[in-house]
Parts: sequence; C-alpha cells; structure tokens
Amino acid sequence: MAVTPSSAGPNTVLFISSGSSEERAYLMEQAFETAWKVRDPDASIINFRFPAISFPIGEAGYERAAGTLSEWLRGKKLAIVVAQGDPAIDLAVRFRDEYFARVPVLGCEAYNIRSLRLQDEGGVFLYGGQNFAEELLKLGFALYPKARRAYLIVSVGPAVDSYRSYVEALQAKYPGREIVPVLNPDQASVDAALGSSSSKGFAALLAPGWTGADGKPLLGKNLIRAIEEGYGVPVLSFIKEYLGGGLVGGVGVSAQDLGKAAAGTGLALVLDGRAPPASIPTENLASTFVDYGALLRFGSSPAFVPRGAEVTNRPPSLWIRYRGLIMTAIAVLLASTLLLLLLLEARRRERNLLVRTNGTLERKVEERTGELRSANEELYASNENLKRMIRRTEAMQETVLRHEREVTLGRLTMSIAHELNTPLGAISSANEAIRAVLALEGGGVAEVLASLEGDRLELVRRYAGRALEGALRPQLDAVSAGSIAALEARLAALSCADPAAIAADLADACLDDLGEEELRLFAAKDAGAAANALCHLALVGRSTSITAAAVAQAVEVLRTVREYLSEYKADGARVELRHSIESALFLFKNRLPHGTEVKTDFSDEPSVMANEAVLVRVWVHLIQNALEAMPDGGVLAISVRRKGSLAAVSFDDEGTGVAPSIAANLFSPFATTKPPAEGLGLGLAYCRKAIEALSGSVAFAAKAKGSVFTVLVPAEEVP
Amino acid sequence: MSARRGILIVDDEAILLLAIRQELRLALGAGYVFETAMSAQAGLDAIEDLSRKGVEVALIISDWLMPGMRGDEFLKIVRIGHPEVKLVMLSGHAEAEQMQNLAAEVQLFASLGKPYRKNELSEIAKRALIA
Repeated sequence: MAVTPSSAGPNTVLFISSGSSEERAYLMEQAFETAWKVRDPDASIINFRFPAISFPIGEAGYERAAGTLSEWLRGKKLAIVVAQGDPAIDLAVRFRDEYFARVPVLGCEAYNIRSLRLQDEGGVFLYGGQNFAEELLKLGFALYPKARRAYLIVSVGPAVDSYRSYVEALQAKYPGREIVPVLNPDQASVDAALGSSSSKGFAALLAPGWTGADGKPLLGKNLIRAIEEGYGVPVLSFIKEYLGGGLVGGVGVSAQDLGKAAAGTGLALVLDGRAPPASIPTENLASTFVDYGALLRFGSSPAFVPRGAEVTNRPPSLWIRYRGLIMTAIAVLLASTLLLLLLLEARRRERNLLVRTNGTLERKVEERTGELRSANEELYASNENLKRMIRRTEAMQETVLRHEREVTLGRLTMSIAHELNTPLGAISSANEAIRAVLALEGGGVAEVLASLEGDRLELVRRYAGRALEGALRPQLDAVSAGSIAALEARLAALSCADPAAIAADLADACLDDLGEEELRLFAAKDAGAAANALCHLALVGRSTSITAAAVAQAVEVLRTVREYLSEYKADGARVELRHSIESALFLFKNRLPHGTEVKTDFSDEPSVMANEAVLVRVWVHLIQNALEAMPDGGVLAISVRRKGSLAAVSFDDEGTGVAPSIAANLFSPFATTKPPAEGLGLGLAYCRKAIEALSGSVAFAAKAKGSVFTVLVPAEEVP
Repeated sequence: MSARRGILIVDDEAILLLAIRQELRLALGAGYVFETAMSAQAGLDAIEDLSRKGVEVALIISDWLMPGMRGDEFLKIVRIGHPEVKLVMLSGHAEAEQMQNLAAEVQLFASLGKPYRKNELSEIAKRALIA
C-alpha cells in the first residue's frame, strides 16, 4: 500500500465498508486495523458500515452517511479513508472534498466504473478481492512467521481459471511456503480435499450445497462444525496448531452466497471461539433509508421494509396522484350547490327587481355583447396569424426539401462527371491515335500503304490479319517495355539495321511472338516500312477496342444511375429466393478472386413476391461488396432462413469491414469504402430502396472480422 | 545499347493507360521506350527496372487518384531519386488546390485536368521532352 500516515500526532483512519455481509465487513475491518497498527500503533480506526449493496439506499442515505461521518470526524486528524465496495468508494470519492479533508482514498473492489473513477480522482485502488486476499496473506505470514503453509479459501464463479493462475503467482512470491487454494468446492471436491489433505491438515471450506439438519445451508462456522463432526477432522484446532493459532483469510467473489460463506469461515477462524467485540461504531443505514425503486428491482415491496425505516423516492399514492381531481370534484359540487341556492335567491329577488332593473339589464347586455364581439374579432385575427405562420413554415419546409434534393442531384452529377472522365479521356486519346494514323507524314496511312511494293507489300498482306486480330482482342494488355527489349535483342542478332524501331513497331502490331524465320523477314533491309504499316493498322484496331471498352464503361455508369433513380414497384411474381441467389452467383462464376470462396446454406427455401431481375441486382450488389471487402480472399457465407412471416437472407463476409465514419450512413447514396475513383456509392442505396419497396429491410452488423448484411422480406405462405 | 529515353505512364484504368500510350507513341514516334503501370507501386518498380536496363526515364505521366498510393505521393517519392525527370499529373477538377501545392513541391512540368482536350497531352509531352 502506497499510503503513509502523517508523521505528527495520532492519526484517525476511516474504514468504510459496503459489502453484503456483516461478517465479511468485520473480517476486513479487523485485518485492516491490524495491518495499519503495525506501522501506526497510536492511530484510532473508525469503522463505518455502509451496506448499500445488499439494500440500496437512496440519495438521502448518501447525504446522511456523509453528514454522520463529518460529525464523527470533528476535531480529529484524518489520515486516510479506506473504502471497500462500490458504494463505499462512491461515498468516499463524492464527499472527499467536502467532508474528508481531501485525504487519500484507498479503494478495494472489483474492477468497474466507480473504481475507475477513483483512479481518476488520484486514489489508490486494489483490484478486487484478489488483492485483498494477498494483503491478508502478507498479514498472516507477518503475524505468524513460523507458519509454513497457508490455506486460501477461495470461492469463485466462472473465473476459476484466472484464480488458479493468481494462486500460482502468489505461490511464487512465497518460495519457502506452501499456498493451498480450495477452489469452487462442491461435494466431490470437498471429499477430495479431505481425502488428500487429512495427513497435512485441513483448509476451511465452503459448500453452498450442504445443508444442516434443519434444511438450511451450512455456512461459515456451522459448516466447519459440520465438517469437524461429520469427518472427524478437528479443523479449528488443527489450524491453531499448524499456523500458530492464526488465520489466513478467505475472500469471496462472484457469487454473493459463496463470498459470504468464505468470509464467515474466515471470521470464525479469526475469532477462534471468541465473541466479536460489541463496541464497533457502526450505523446500519439500510434500515433507515430504503430506496423505493431499488425495492422493486430486488423483487421486494415496502411491506418487507424493517420497522423504523423510511422508504424514499416512493411514487405518490392514489390519493396523492388523484388529489387534485378529487378536490376539484368536491369544489365543483360545493360550488354548484351554492350556485343553485344563489339562483333560487336571485330568482326571488329578480321577480321584485325585474321591472326596476329592466333598463339597466338591457344596457348591460349590450355592453357584454360588445365585449364579446371584440374578443371574437381578436380571436379571429390571431387565428389568421397562426394560419399565416403555418403556411410560411410549410413553404420553408418545401424550400429545405428542394434544397436537399438539389444537393443530392448536385452530388450525383459530380459523381457521374467524375466517373465519365476515364472513358471520355480514353475515347479522346484513342480518337487522337486514329487521327494521327490517318494524317501520317507523307499523306496519311493510305499513302504509306500505297507506297509499299514487292516483298514489303507481301509482308503487310501476310501479317495484317494477325496484327488486327491481336489489336481487337478484348484483352487490353499494354505492351511492356520488357517484351520490346527482348524482340530488339533478337532482331539485332539477325543483323537488323534498326532493331529498336522495328521491335517497337512489331510489338505494337502484336507480332512480338514471331518465330526466328518470320523475324528474319522483318530484319531484312527496307522491311521497316512494312513493320511500321502493320503497327499503324494495329493502332487503329486497338483504338476501336479502347473506344468500345470505354463506351461500355460509360454505359455502366449511366445504367447504375438510372437503376438508382428508377421507381420501385412491389409488383412481380413469386420468386424463389434460392433461384434468384443462384442466378446472381452465376454472374460471379468465373470472376471469384483467388482465395475467395462462397458458401451457400439454403436450409429454408422460401418464396417472395418480387421482380426477380431487381432482386438479382440486389444480391449482385451485396455479393460484389462482400468480395471487394475481401481483397486477400476469405469466405462469403450466404444463408436463407425463414423467420416467422419473413425470409432472411444474410451475407456474412470475412472482409475488412466498414469504417465507423461510413457505417452510420451506409445506406445513403454516395457512402462508399472504395477510393473516390471507384464507384458511385449507389449500390447499397439501391438495395435499400429496392428492398423497402417490397416492405422489407436491409440491416448491417459489424463482426470482429468482416460484416454481415441481412435482408428481410415478407415471405409467401408455404403452399 | 546507348542510353535511350523512356516514358512512364501510371493510371489504374487500363483503357486510359493503353489509349495514352498509343496517342503518345504516335505523337512522339518510336524513339522512346514506353512503359505503363497500373499502380504507383508498380510505377516505382518500373522506374527501377528501366534504369537497370540503361533507359533514362525522361517523362512520367501519372494519374492523381489511384487505389493504394496516390499520384501525389508517388511523384514526391520519384522526385527524391530523379531530379531531372519531367513530371506531368492528370487529375479530376476536385484536386485543384492540392495540385498547386504539389506543383511547387515536386516542380511539376504540367498538370492536366480530366477530361483533357484532344491533343493537349501529346503537345505537353512533346514540350516536356524538348525542354
């Protein structure tokens, strides 16, 4: 513990515990006090029980506790506040500045939010019960230096493995001693522990499954007694003898009953038959303030609250809730009775006064009518005002919507322009190439061809077909400098006069794979013109290939946009989901990247009412996205399930996932994980529009590695 | 073989790459070694390859927006090792401001917005190779 008490004068130490068990709280107080007094024997320790865990107390409880403590601490020199348990830590931290002289706070609890907050506040923090057990162990060995073995009574829930390694770590700190844990005991492990340790002694055990003669669970002292009697093992006397009469304590985690049992056992060992001291200054606030909400959460009710306790935050009773209504009803009743009486009286008088007051009455009626008329006019005016405001708001709304549409349209146009840059650039370049060929020096390609004669003309005639065929091949491979260099070397070896130029021309004419004899024809004197003519033919051919590919690319861009902008009608026929998915997959048949696998699971085969072409388009988009998210390969699992009246199709990939910045707007137009140069980002927006037109939905979920897109659509009844 | 001059074109769009190569090939004649690369990384490899073969890379035309390393980063790296090479950048209009900064940093010979006019690129290439 990194806390040292002040050097001058006797210190006061405040120990607040909020554990669920009185026994455990007492055990901790004892342990802490002993430890503290080793270093600071004059200190006075104030123990304060704040059992807010077992019975949550309201805000008032916290206030009251802090107030009480400030009374206790009046005039004392506070050195440290030690807080065990979340509520205790909370109490200490919240009121440190106000009541606890800003002294350090030492917390001890499982790692959670409030404990983290304690760290933020500069406090010291022990990690869970484990550290407490360690402190106890240290203390035990300090108090009983002759002890060779320590028994850790450990009750754990699912974290049993972490506890084992924890115990191993503890063992490493005490090489000359043996640390024996008794973990997670059940009937079998109790028997095992007894069997194997009978010659060495016995550790205190807890077994929530054991019950006594009265049917109640055996815990703490009672359990030890039961073991002593049942197995004939003198637990207490053994420990007294073996450890010099001392204890190494037990600390429980996870399961409240287990923890309580461990603490109870430890307490029994500490006391060794002695009664706990009566004069511990504690105050049980749980019996003073009980939070109503907490009561309900714990399945309790105000009926079970101990006598003398006050239930806080109780919602108003029926009477309080409807008090206003009832009072109003009574008031109305009284008022109407009074009115009736007054009316009767007035009628009597009226008869007398009728004649006298007739004139006055008429005047008054006139006055009232005038007032009413002007009030009516005012009302009418303000009504008109309101209508105007509503109209203005509607107009503004329309403006906003129009603006939004314009922004979307603008972005769409920008995207289209950007996407069309590439095909337009390619067409422009290809066209330039054709123009250049047509306008070749010396009268254009026609003149060049016409000027050829003899062998050279024959060469062109012979290879023109191959050159054009190569250039028109759908594959748009660029000619690499490497293959030209190889060709040049071969030509040079054939004593060609201008190997560099001819090699470049032949390569561009798709004739870089000529055999030795054929190459010799081009290496001959004056064959350069023929190679050049073939090259130009091929350039024209390749330009048309480029143009065709560019046009296809531009058409694809426009098709995507048209698809997105088209109306979606929930028309169509009965479509078998399996069939539509297999149709979509067929389009990817030979295009799956290396290392990528698609697995399908058609456990259910529901049908939906839809336009099959639209549905296939949706699957294509989702499959395409999944494949693009897995550039290094992986498995795309597609499954179809029937979920009640819905059909669920999920696409589960092992890809790179979706950036959080995009995930929020994933289904909006222009959301894309691809670089801006690729794709319009309309795919998922299309999917959503199309599926929503079928009264379905598309959902996205991130995984540790990859994403899952799930499409839900109403399924047709099974025929 | 004497030191020949090379022209490297980098663009992730195959059709554009091929089209530009053809256009320049026709405009500049067969006296140059043309090399193409579909990514900046492949472009760096190509430069090294050409240098090894004794080809002096005289002109590099690069697209701005490519998957992986972008054109601006690519040209910055190239400039470190090749102070003499002429650099031309192709770009969409969105990058105008960044383009100005880059022009100063790597001494761009020219930048060209897409789509460019019919013989703009070959004219620029001719001037770059004469300069």
